Amino acid sequence: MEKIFEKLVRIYQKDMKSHIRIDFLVNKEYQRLVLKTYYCPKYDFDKTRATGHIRNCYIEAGRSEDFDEKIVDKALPLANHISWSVDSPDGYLGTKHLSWAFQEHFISEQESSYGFLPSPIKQGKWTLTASTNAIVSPYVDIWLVVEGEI
Amino acid sequence: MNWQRVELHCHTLASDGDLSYVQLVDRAIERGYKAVAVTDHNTISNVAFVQKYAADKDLPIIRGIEWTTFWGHIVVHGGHSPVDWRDITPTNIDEHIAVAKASGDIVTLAHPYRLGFPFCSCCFNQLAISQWQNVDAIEVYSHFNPHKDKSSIKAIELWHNLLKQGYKISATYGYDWHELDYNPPIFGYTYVGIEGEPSEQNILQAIRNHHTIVSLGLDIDIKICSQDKVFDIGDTIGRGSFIIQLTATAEPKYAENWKVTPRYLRLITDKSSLTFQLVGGTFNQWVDFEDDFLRMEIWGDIDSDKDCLLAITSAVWSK
Repeated sequence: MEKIFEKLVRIYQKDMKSHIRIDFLVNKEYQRLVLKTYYCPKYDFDKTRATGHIRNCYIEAGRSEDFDEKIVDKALPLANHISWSVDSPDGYLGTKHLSWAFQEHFISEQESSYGFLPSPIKQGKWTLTASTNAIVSPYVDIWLVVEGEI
Repeated sequence: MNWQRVELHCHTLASDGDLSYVQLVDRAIERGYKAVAVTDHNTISNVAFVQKYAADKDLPIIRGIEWTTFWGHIVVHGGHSPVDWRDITPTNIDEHIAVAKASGDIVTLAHPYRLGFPFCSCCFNQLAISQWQNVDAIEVYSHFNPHKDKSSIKAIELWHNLLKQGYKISATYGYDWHELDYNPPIFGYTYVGIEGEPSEQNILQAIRNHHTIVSLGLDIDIKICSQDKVFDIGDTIGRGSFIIQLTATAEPKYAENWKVTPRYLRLITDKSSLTFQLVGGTFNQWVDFEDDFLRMEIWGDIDSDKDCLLAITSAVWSK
């Protein structure tokens, strides 16, 4: 297994609802790509921030009368949620919409991990996209590693 | 027309569901569904596996995806649409829906009023849909205990107001099946009225034609009869006097978990509503219909909950 790419990215609450595209180059025709992603923190225990998020949620839904502090206590801790998409040089292979902080996926011509279509590991530009569905903490550090299996 | 129980909104391990394709198919058969749709979040990677496993089990699989955008969820059935969801924004959603429709797929607005961030991030609909003529269905009931969920009231209100504006949109239920649960809370069914086998093509056509009923555990048979013709839910029936023949009976498997008792039938048009008592779950009466559309609701008791909305039909139209 060869390490092809490694990157650490810090994102902030203002980056919620955005697609952060991270390109990397594949210079060999590997048998498979292994993609490891991790983000931290997964949870935010801050009650003041949670109260703000949850109150806004009820206001947005036109149900501000239903907001109650007890809902906040029950909901804590709130969770960040980032989903991952993969594009090969030929295009979109799928998204893994899963809230786990650590994920490991592989792509190969014969089969791929859940969420992704099989694809040959062609040389060229590949893209991992972090889609920030929920950012509840002030910032989130994302670490990703791409490895190639010869 | 045969009313067949289907589930149109299911997730697997390909996204955030707990169910493998084997578990989804086996559980669906146990529950008595005549077909299920695989609608993982932003991926179609498991559809072929589910289809292959179900092929010799007499369970048709509907190809699908749930566009899980940051501003709301759209379930697309049929398997012909582009699957890259990342270009969708609140203001260009009409273009994406139009592409899906043009490809022959069915477009359903999923759980439009479910609470969003930070609970179910991106679930609350903020997509600025204006071309509602391209939307085939709205999930008026969703997930668990929909009869007690305020978001159901808002979803029904949205759907009803769209019908009043002349948009012919079907009512559906979305289980939004994620859990490998053997004892789930109260959930619903979508019944589709089809001629022939419950194939993917026939089921999608039924949704297109508004032959749908949403139900919490009631098997429902409805006929709308004029002097010389019998109509089904979803049909254009004209104006005049019709006999509505309705039978609502508790579905036996569902009744093992929850007692369901239908008590009232509400006939709702764009201008008025009338309530009738159901005797033994049946209704057989002449009604005058002079408005633009007519839809029906069955109210009654489920488990220990009284006076609940148990079933919602799609509409019939006068023109």
